[in-house]
This record gives sequence, C-alpha cells and structure tokens, in this order.
Amino acid sequence: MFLKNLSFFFLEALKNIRTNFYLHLTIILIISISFSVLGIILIFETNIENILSSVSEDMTLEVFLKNEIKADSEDFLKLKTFLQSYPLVKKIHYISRSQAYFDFKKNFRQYSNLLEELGDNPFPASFRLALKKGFDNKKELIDLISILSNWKSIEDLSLNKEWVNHFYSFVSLIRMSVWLLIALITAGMILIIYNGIKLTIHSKSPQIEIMKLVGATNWFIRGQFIFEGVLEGLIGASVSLLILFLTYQLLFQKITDAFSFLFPQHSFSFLPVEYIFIIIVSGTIMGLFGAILSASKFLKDIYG
Amino acid sequence: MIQLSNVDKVYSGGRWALKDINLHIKKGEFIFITGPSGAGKTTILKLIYLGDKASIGEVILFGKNLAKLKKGSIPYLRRNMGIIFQDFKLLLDKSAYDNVAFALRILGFKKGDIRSRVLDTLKLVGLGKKSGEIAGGLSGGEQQRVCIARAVVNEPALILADEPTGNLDEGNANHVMEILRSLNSKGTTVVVATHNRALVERSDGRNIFIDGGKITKECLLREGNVS
Repeated sequence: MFLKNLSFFFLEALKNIRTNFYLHLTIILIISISFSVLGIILIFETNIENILSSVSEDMTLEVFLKNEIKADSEDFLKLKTFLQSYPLVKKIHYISRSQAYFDFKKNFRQYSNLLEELGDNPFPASFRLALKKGFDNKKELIDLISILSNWKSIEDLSLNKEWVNHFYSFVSLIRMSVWLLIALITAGMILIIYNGIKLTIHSKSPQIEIMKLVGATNWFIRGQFIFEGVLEGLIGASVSLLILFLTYQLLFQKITDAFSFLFPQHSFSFLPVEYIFIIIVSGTIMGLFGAILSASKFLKDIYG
Repeated sequence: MIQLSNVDKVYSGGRWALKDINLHIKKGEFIFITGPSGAGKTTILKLIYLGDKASIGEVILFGKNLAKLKKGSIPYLRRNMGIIFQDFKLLLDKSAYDNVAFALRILGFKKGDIRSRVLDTLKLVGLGKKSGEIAGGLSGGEQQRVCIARAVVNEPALILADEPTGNLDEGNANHVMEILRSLNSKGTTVVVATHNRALVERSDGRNIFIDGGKITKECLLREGNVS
C-alpha cells in the first residue's frame, strides 16, 4: 500500500511545499546554512586529520645507545632483536656514531667549526624507529618508552611519556571538539526539520482529519510528510554542498596560501567524496527522522 | 450491526452529553435520530464513527467492541462507513472531483475506477457539470452534495448522515433523501441525525427521539408506533 502510493505522496509533498512555499524555503535555507557550517567543520576536520595522520606516520623514536655499547656486542644484538619484534615498530634503522657525526656535518655546515673545536665525536649511536600508523597506539608507545627507559644499554630517548601524553591529548581534544560541533549541528537540524513539519501538519490538520475520517491509515497520512522532510533534507544538503564548493573555489587560493604558510608540507583539500556522500545521505535521513517524529507525535492528536 | 448499551458520554467539566443510551440498529435499517440542537445526536454518530469514545457503556459496530479495538484497526473499520458531516469537512482548495476521488485513492482504488465512479456519483448528486470547480467556490448546498458524494462513492455498508439536508432547499433535500433511500434499498444501513421534523414526517423508517442526552421516544414513522 505504502509503495503503491509513492507517486501520490511525492505529488502531495510537492503541493505542500508549493502551498507553504516561504515556510519550506526558510527550512531549506536553514538546513543549507547548517550543513554549510557542518561542511566547513568537516573540511577542517579532514585537513587536520591529514596533518595529524601524517605527523603520526612520520613519528619516529630515536633510541640513543651508551657509548660503550659496540655494534656486535651481546647487549646490542639483544636490543636490536627486541626492537625488531616489538609490534608497534614498523622498521628500525641503525645510525652509528660516525654516521651521526657525518650527518650532522652535512646537514649543519655552519656548525662544523664547533665540531672541530670539540675534537671527540659527541654523537651517540642510535636506533631510529619508524612507528606503525594510527592514533590508537598511545598505550603501546608509552609501554615501549617505559621499557626502553629502564634498558641498561640505552642512554636516552628522543620522546618521553609526557610528550606522548600531551600529543595524544591534543589529538583527542581536536577530534572531540569537531565531533561535539557536528553533534550539536545535527541535533539543531533535526529540531528545525521537526518543527517545520509540525507547522505543516498544523496547517494541514483539516486535511488530516478528513483523511482519517475516510479511513486513511496513519502511515498513509505520514507518507506525504515523510516525502516532504526527505525532500527538504536532500535539497538543503545539496544546496549546502554547492555553497561550500563555490566558497572553496572562490577562496581556494587564499586558504591554500594561509594553510601552506602554517603547514608547509600539506595542501588544503576539499571534502573527500565519502564526506559529500555522507552529507547528502545524512540530510535525507535527518529529513526522514524529523518528519517521522513530528508526524507520529501530531497525528495522534487528530481522531486517534 | 450497531449496538449501544448503557452508554454515557461525559465531557470535561462534567457536562453530560449522553445518558444511558441503549440503541440497536439492524443491518439494512433506515433510522432517524431526531431532537433539538444540543440534544446529543451528533455525539451518538461520533461514538459510532470513532470520532469520540463512550465514557461508560459499550458500543459494538460490525460485531466489534469499539473500546477494545486496536488503534491500527480504526481506519479499516471506517472504510465501511460513509460519513456526511454537518460542517461538510471538504478540502476547500481542491476541486469537487478531487474531494470525492481523495476518498477512493485512500481506499486503494485504481485510477480508471476512480474516474468513472467519481463522475457517476457527482452526476447522481446533481454536480456533474461542476466536478472541476474548486470546492471553496461552491454554494453551501453544493458543498453539502460534494460531501454526500464522497460519503457514498465507495458504496459503504453504513452511512452516517449528520443534518444532510441542513443547507438544501426542499427540492435538493428530497433529492438527497432519494439517494439515501436508493442506497438503503440496496442493503446499506442509513443513520440520519436531523432536527428537520418535516423531513422525518414524510419518511419511512424508525425514529429515535433524543432530548437532553436521553432517548425519550422511539417510533416507526407513518405508523406512529410509539414505544
């Protein structure tokens, strides 16, 4: 019955939108603006996530060895085997004392005099550990740092527990703020659609009353309002994407310049395809839920 | 078909609309409920079409106790009834045709069937030439006939008519009564609530007289059989 009447619902929804044009236009505009704000947050979230994930990917832990540890000693081999087999470690690279000395000399030519004045090679040998990708390895990284801090043949580490804790707290804070904003905007949009449909239902209560009295089921009556909500959500979300894209195109150069100044190795990107898809689908779903909620609540008031 | 047993209806504020109503309407019967304005005629019809619930007592319709009826079953029960409302309850921004077709669309009739049935019914109530006109632009009498057309278009088993001739001149009132009679002769049960004594006096059927929410008199019309 519901499917059979789809075209009827669709036409009735269009008629409702046409009849209360300014009300629906306002609702669609509010949804578009809300989704645009959501889209801006998502664009920033995408770019911040890119930076964080690349920082995390590039994250290395340098393990500085005591000078007395020789490259073929038992302690050295034990540590190497341990590091190679540790789950968080992607790969390890050994840098000998002389290699570290030459690297410094090559990278910091202006300080080569300083090295000559020192006479002895001041650099320790080290293992450079590349860590596996992902933000969920905080505990594993802290565990590794704890183990290595107590390792006899190790002089020092490039990261400490406090730094790791601060880094991951910063990442969680950014993520939490973004998702909190997203949740607030989503709740706001559901309320807007809910109230919009409520107003439509009030304006159509004589029609609903007649429909009920001639034997229409509540689902039959809801049909047109559901289509109305879905259309509002869909149009609102699509318009917001258009606004976002045009704004992005218009301000692209300026944003990219500012962004590359702050993060030289990253380019500023628009929403990925999956986010575009999520915005359209969530607009539709929000419209659907807003309509079902308000229609269910207010249909009860009219003749059972 | 319809059984009201010891029915009371009390509205908020303690106003009694009906008191101890016992009424049995058989299948195929033509019955008038008469009485002055505010006597409780419309309330009885409302209890039958589930527009309201009895405060006390039992209402049985088509063998079903309405107090125990699940909400989801109400629309299906209403599909067996055609209701003619005192205030018409039309969609004033839609055409006469759409108002009548609307009921059939809800009942799931096919497009082709809807068209032929609606046009035939509008012709039957004398509005064949006004099917395309917007209901809001029709006269009171014409709107009442659109309402009648909507109530009878699906040939329901029961017709509930609340002042069906209230806005009609004598000629049109007689025509409407003829339509209801003709449906009744095919087996439809018809319940007419009216305060129009003249209309009742020239009709056949049973008359229930109601006053102050109570049934005060019951008679078979033309035979003057008071019980």
